[in-house]
Amino acid sequence: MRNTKIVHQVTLKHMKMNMKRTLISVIGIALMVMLLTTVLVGKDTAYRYFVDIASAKKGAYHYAVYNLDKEKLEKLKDLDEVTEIAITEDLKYSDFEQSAKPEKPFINVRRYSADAFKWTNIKLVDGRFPQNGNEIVISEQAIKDGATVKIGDTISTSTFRRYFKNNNTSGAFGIQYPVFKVPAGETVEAPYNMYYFVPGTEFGDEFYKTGEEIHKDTGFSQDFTVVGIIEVPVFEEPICAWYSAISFVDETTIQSDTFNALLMTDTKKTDSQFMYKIRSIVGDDNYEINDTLLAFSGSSSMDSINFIVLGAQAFFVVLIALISVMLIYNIFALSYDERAKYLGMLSSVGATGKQKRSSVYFEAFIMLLPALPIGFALGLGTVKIAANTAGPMAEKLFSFDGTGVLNLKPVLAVSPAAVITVILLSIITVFISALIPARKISKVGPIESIRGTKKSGKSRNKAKGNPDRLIGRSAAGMLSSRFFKNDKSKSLGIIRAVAIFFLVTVAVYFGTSLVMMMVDYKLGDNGLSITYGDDRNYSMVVIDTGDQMERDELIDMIKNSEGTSDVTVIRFDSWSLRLPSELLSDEYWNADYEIECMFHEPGELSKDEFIKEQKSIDRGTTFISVTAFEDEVFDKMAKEVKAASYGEGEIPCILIKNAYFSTDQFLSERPRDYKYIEVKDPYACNDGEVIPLYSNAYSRAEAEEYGLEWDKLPHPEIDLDGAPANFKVIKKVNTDEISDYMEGTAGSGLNIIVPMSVAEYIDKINVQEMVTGILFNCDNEATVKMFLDLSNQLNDLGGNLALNQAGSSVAEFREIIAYLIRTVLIVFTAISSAICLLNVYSSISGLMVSRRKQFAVLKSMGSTFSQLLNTEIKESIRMLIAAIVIAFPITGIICWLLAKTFIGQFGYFTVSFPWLQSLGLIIFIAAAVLLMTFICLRRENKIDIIEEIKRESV
Amino acid sequence: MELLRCENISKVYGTGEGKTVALQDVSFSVEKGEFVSIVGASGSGKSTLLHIIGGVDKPTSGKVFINGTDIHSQNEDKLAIFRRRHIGLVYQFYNLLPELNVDENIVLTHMLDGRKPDKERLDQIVEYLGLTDRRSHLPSELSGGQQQRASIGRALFSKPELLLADEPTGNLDRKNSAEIVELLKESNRKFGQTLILITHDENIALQADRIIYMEDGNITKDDRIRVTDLMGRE
Ligand SMILES: Nc1ncnc2c1ncn2[C@@H]1O[C@H](COP(=O)(O)OP(=O)(O)O)[C@@H](O)[C@H]1O
Ligand SMILES: [Mg+2]
Repeated sequence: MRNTKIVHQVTLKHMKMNMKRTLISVIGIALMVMLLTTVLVGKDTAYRYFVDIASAKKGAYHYAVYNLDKEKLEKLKDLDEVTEIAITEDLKYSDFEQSAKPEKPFINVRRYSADAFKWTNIKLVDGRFPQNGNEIVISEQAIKDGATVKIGDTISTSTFRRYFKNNNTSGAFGIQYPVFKVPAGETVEAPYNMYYFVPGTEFGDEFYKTGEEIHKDTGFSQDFTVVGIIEVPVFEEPICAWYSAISFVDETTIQSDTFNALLMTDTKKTDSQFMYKIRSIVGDDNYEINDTLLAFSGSSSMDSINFIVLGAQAFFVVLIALISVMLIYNIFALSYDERAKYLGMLSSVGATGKQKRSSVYFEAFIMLLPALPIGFALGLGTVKIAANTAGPMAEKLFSFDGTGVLNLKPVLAVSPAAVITVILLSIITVFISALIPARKISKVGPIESIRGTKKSGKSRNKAKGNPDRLIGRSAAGMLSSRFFKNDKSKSLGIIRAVAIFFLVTVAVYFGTSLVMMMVDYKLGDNGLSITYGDDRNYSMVVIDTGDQMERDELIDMIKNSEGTSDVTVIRFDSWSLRLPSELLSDEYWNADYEIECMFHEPGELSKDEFIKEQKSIDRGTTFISVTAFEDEVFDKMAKEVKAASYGEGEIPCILIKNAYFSTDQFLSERPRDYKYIEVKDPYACNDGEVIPLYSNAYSRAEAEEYGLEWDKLPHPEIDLDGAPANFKVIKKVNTDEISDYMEGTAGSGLNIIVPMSVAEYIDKINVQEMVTGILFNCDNEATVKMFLDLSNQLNDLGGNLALNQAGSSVAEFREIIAYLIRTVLIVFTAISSAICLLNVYSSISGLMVSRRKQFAVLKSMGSTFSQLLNTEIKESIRMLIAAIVIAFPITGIICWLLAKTFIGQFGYFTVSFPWLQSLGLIIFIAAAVLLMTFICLRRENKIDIIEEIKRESV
Repeated sequence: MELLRCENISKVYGTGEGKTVALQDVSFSVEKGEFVSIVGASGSGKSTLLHIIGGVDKPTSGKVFINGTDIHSQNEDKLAIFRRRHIGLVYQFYNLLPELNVDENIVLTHMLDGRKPDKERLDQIVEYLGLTDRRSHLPSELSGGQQQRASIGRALFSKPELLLADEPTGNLDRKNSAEIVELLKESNRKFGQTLILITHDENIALQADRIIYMEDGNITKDDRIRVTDLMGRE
């Protein structure tokens, strides 16, 4: 025991003497702990944050079900998966005499059971929650607005539903937000967030000329005692005509015929069937899934996200552990010589193998002591910073439902499980790293310390001595070659470090880009979009101008209005034309088949039959969507992609090649698994070929075949009567090639691009015209107002058009997600590369330190610094080459395995090895190694050569 | 003809309390072809002096002239080049490069000078050193005597004018010691190389043309060996 203590003391001293190396090790271990913490706590924090947001936005429940009666409630309670039920009743509106705001004359009386308060995030500002049906809490907003109500007061209620009546004989009364339209002469119930027209105000008087608000009693009336003030609930939007007032209900006191319930479920038991069970009880439209919350609460029915996250987490943890083992092992391996000296000395005075082994573990433990808290704190800091920067952005993701920004702050979610996992993983990693060095060192005997005879053995190589061979070589060449070959253990350390750096960086990059790609595809289902003109700040989308105005008139008017500029017109339509099914490639049909198979039991679906059947659908054709750009724009695009030319009488078109099938495209059923199959080219025709495209209109023969009365069908201006129009495919493109015009993928949808003049022809051969988008910039408010009025007017006259301001949120959604993921990946790649680089540095530094004596001898024999540098650079290049030769195939195999696993799980898409990035990395690592060699050698060069020479043998 | 002249060489290690004066105002000169041995108690400054002469250590003050060149006035690279062309160093602990075999260690200095080693000369030297069957061995595979012979080979290969040996036999048994000294003496006599040899061994010292005695960083005695002694030994 005592003896062991001495071993440990000597170990400590040894560590102090090699402070720099000890520090590098501690930094390395701390970085590892930091990464582990980041990955584990980061995931928990993100999940918690998403759950918080989802809870705040919608509530902390899993499902909401509406319009229940007692019988349905019992059925729901009988469901095995349902763990808890909370009840909410909306008793509608009552006059609120105490209100101080004329535009908020009502209260919305609701009744919640105890859990419902909790799950919908109702928070008290003052007082307490109601405990019986006579008590009520009221929204803080009322008090803020000056209502004369306080805790202890009594409010009398008598509730009613709100309706709006339009007394006009023609012209609808309509507002855009909330979307609410009352046709002439009709009465319509108002949405919950419909505002109140205050008589005596300009708006009010205008409204009451032709309209009125009508209240219909619900039959509920009661006096309540106010027992608490609550924070404004999310459903109480600022424009609402009421304040919230919530009383208490339980199962026994439910009064209304229909009420709502919130369900909590056992996320482990629920599967896709559960939704159907709920549906069958409450009806198709009467339920809502809090899907975000469910997804991040680990629901097994949302396993796609969880699989990616868990998989990524496991991948990262294993990777971090691997990198760290390499770093720590290398450091131990490098310090073997010195350790051998003092341990050999201790061994000569009786230290046992076990004690020597324990010295290595002891050193590892000592290094872990400061590294653990430091790394953990750094990890928490990283998560905190990341959460604070990414948080607001992440919240935006959930803000598209119109409920506004919550300004929720992400909270670090440090679970005991995560802490224990970090500590355990760190300890395991460090001790695994120390395992081999400890076993080796325990074999060191007393002799090694005295004579340092270690490095014979393996390096015997008699062939190296042929005197003829050294003639004609430079000293640096000879030295570098001999150093490289005869000091294997050290060279290997560096080779290993460089190889690991390369492997890890490429594998992490590759792995993460796979995840990226997956996420991109999953989110990328928002299809094909037109990028041309998206810098314009307004767009007028015209489906129909109505009878009073021609499309060209409207375009001209916009062009000639004050303050407009850069007016450009695009046309688009889905399903405008039909392509004969034979013109689709095998690749297309195979992908279609394989995705369809995911909805069937394996082997159930015959390929030939399926394809045959698919081909016969829709008159043997497949619908194809058309996008048109102005003729000059089209020609410019055609030129950019080097399209074939077309003559006077030819109808040109450009086909979009990129497409995919995925199980997500078929929402009606649940697939066996998620699958994504990229289709590189859905067409079985070539550039320059002429293909027949059919109009949408029925021919006489077709009408007959389908039992339609041809005379009663609408007819196009030019009736082709079943004959095709011949289009010349001037080019098949990927949207990447025309990113200035269009981007994304329309999934399995087919798309062609034509010039405007062709669009006009398509209009003529079809029954319905294509949609027109007029994109323009406008800096004149009056003009914008005029366009707005005009579009309203045209809509009233039977038109269908809308003026929009730019800034589509869908693209933003993708961008934010992509940004978040990319950030995480870049940070991760950077830190893991940093650990590996640290490893490379410590190996090179260790090599140089161990060469001190050799350098001293060389210098004493007249070697200049540049000769030393020359030697070491040559040696480094040898090691670099060796490292790359070793790392490249292994990296290739690992990437291949990653890709295979990924594709196996998610379907086919093109993944290519990152050659260019690898090359860049090789250049980087070469530069880094040479620079490190230079720096370390220069440091060694400063050391007094005499001191080294005086020391005993090399 | 004078090959080496030391002028008022002092070497002080450290400052203040822990200051050690290793050499104090040492001056002497050595003729071309002379064989000088330096003797003195341990810590008297012999090695320090030899390293300063060899250009691997710098004096605190004073100058060293070799063939009229003030060697320490040159920059580091020039000095390195001077060393490999004019000086051969032999250490007590051999200081061979463990990664190089015997042949390679021997030709190393020559190659550092950018010159191609002459194969015949290498064969000659290896044979002369008695290492013919050890040429491709690494230092760790050699006995102490063999290692020292290889290190002498390295010092001799480029035919430097000045051979400096710091207790080259300090680690060897009597028989090996005698052989090593014989090798050095022969190179002194046959090739006219000037030899300065530090030794503890009175017998070895007495074989020189001249013995310099050192004590506490000073030269206390500079004896030319009497001709009669030389005659007696011959
Ligand atoms: N690097 C150094 N730092 C301090 N003192 C030194 C150093 N090197 C040598 N000395 C001292 O200089 C003196 C001369 O040393 P040295 O020349 O090695 O003696 P010798 O070779 O005669 O035994 C000794 O007292 C020694 O302790
Ligand atoms: Mg000495």
